Amino acid sequence: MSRVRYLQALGKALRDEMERDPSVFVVGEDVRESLRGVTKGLLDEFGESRVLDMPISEQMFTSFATGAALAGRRAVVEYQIPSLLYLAFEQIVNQAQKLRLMTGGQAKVPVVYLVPGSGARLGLAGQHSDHPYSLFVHAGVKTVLPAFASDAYGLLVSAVRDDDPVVFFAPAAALPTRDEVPDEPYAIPLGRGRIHREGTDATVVAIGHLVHDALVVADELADEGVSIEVFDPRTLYPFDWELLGASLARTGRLVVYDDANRSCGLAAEILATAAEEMPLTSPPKRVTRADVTISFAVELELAALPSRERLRAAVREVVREAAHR
Amino acid sequence: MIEVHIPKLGMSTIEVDVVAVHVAPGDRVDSDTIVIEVQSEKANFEVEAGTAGVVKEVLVQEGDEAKVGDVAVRVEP
Amino acid sequence: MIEDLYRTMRTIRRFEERVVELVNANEIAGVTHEYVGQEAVAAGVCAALRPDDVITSTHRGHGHLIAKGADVARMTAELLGRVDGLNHGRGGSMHIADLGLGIYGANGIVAAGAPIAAGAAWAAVQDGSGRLAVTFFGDGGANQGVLHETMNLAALWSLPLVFVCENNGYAVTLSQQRSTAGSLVERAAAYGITAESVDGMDVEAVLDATLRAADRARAGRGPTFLECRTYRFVGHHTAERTMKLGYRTDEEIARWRRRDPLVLAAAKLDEGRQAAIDDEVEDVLERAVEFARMSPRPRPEDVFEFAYASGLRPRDGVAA
Repeated sequence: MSRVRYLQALGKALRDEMERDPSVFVVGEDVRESLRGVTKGLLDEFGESRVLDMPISEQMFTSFATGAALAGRRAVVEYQIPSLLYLAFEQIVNQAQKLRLMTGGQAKVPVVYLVPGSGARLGLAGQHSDHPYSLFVHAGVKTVLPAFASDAYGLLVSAVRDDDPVVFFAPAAALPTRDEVPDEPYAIPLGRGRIHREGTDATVVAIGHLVHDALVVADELADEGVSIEVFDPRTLYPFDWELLGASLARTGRLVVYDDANRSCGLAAEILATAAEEMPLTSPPKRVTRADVTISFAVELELAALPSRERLRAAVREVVREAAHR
Repeated sequence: MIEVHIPKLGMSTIEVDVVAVHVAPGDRVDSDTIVIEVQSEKANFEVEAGTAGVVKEVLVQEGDEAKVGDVAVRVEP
Repeated sequence: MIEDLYRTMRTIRRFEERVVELVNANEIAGVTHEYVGQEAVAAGVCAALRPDDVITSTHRGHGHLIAKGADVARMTAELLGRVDGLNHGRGGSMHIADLGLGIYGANGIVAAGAPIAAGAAWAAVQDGSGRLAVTFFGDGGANQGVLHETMNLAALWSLPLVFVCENNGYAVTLSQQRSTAGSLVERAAAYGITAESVDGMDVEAVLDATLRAADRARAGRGPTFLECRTYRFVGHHTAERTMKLGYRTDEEIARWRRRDPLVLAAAKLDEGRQAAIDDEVEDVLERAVEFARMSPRPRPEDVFEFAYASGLRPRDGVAA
């Protein structure tokens, strides 16, 4: 067991899987020098044929990974910023994701699309601050967004071993966080959420790095006598609806805390499913980004992002609402 | 007075760990003297004084977490 | 050899003509994109390949599949959307594939197969198998960004990848002259790729050029670009005949029909062989259609089958 930063946990997972399975290879831009930090040391350990530096051609190398996967390899494709996924969207959603069904099960596309450092990070501005995971959830692509280093390790291992395409978002704000990570390789299955803190008054579903925020807010609210349960889905698709249902059976109140746009976002999906299928004693709420491009000026950036203050207000409201019924 | 700041170590780094402090108030430094060492999730970096002079104040200790842009050391040229 | 080439082309021609009948009778849903007139390209290219070589095809893919050895009965069943189809009815004409034969499939997005073929070509180099990959696309696909990105990488990494541009003069209604600046062959040469323009109506010329490209690829000397000048005698897709489009003249079509690749090849066959082969092909296709018509239709409750390799079942449109 070692206390490891999230970014290092990702690197360890990749390294351990590349050692275990010679068909795993990494492809992306500047992955040999490891500009983004995840692939540090992999070139020295595994050689040029397993760590491929590509020209700036995201559409090409995304489908290159598909072709290599069809030919029996396992690819990990790294993107330097989340917006580049928009470029590669067709190659992921219309080719890789659909090939298995369209070919009647002949094709298998084991590819991980890894985005180290997704989301906003003060001053990255409009095109470098996106968190577009709900687009992939909508397209049925397995999507993972761990909050803790130990989960990042286990889920990246599972993602690499998964025979389907998996999009893996590693939020920038979570990269420096530290957690106890076992020294021996281990896998965490996709599709299983985690309850970090049990509570009785409301369930807060926090997405990605916001789990850390939600835990801080939970402590603060506990001082006011409000007990919240913090639910970390870890995998966004397939979502652990069963665990959420069990949590809501206990609390009956739901707030979703999501660092992505409001319209048609993951928070909307969670609210809709909870409203359809789970026992709610008050109308649920979501705290998300505003539907606006992120500005450069810090005040404007922060004004568009979800905040602890807004989360506190939302929790108080759903609890108060229930008290009136 | 010259202020030595915690440097930006990458596009998205906001905090770093101070992993070593090499100077104390009263020390003479050259512009390339390494005053502190910091570590982000990605890399280690040796921060130089940037100016020849005398160290007046050291505002961080080994083991601290510091924010990018914070003043770490003050040097009188 | 010329007999095999003729047989392949005749199979493609008659398959496509039967497909048109089936589409118009609504036994095949939607439309298909027929390969009539272009047979020499698929037949010539695929005759130069090994069974384990990879090809990526286009929306006009039936000819590529037949030439690479796909079973015509299972192809017909796939077009009819039946369970015994190559893709178990899940893909239809535009996604028809046979991975066991290295056919990574028809594709609904032009030139989308090029980078996929590049990945397969790279994997072949890693395996040391001597395999190569061929990617088909039309003059319409020649301006796609991914194609250029792929040509760049193929040349840079000396990939065993053959780019086959089936230049039939038109994207849908837009002619090559109006869509494509410069010359297709010179563009490839600009990337440092050995490039050749071939008479796509002459099956032996196509085969010859592909053999040279295959040798180059297997010897590790990198990619080749073959522009095969060909023509489709029918519309872009089956329904075009009802659309009264005016982008081509009857005179132009007639001119190309005078160089029908089947007629050119048949002239080289021994006495009496053409009629015998034609009969055999007719027989095979008749049985293929029977097989397809007898194959069961998929059950609605199987809508989620094959969605995920892990067996994950997606949620239905209505909550349980």
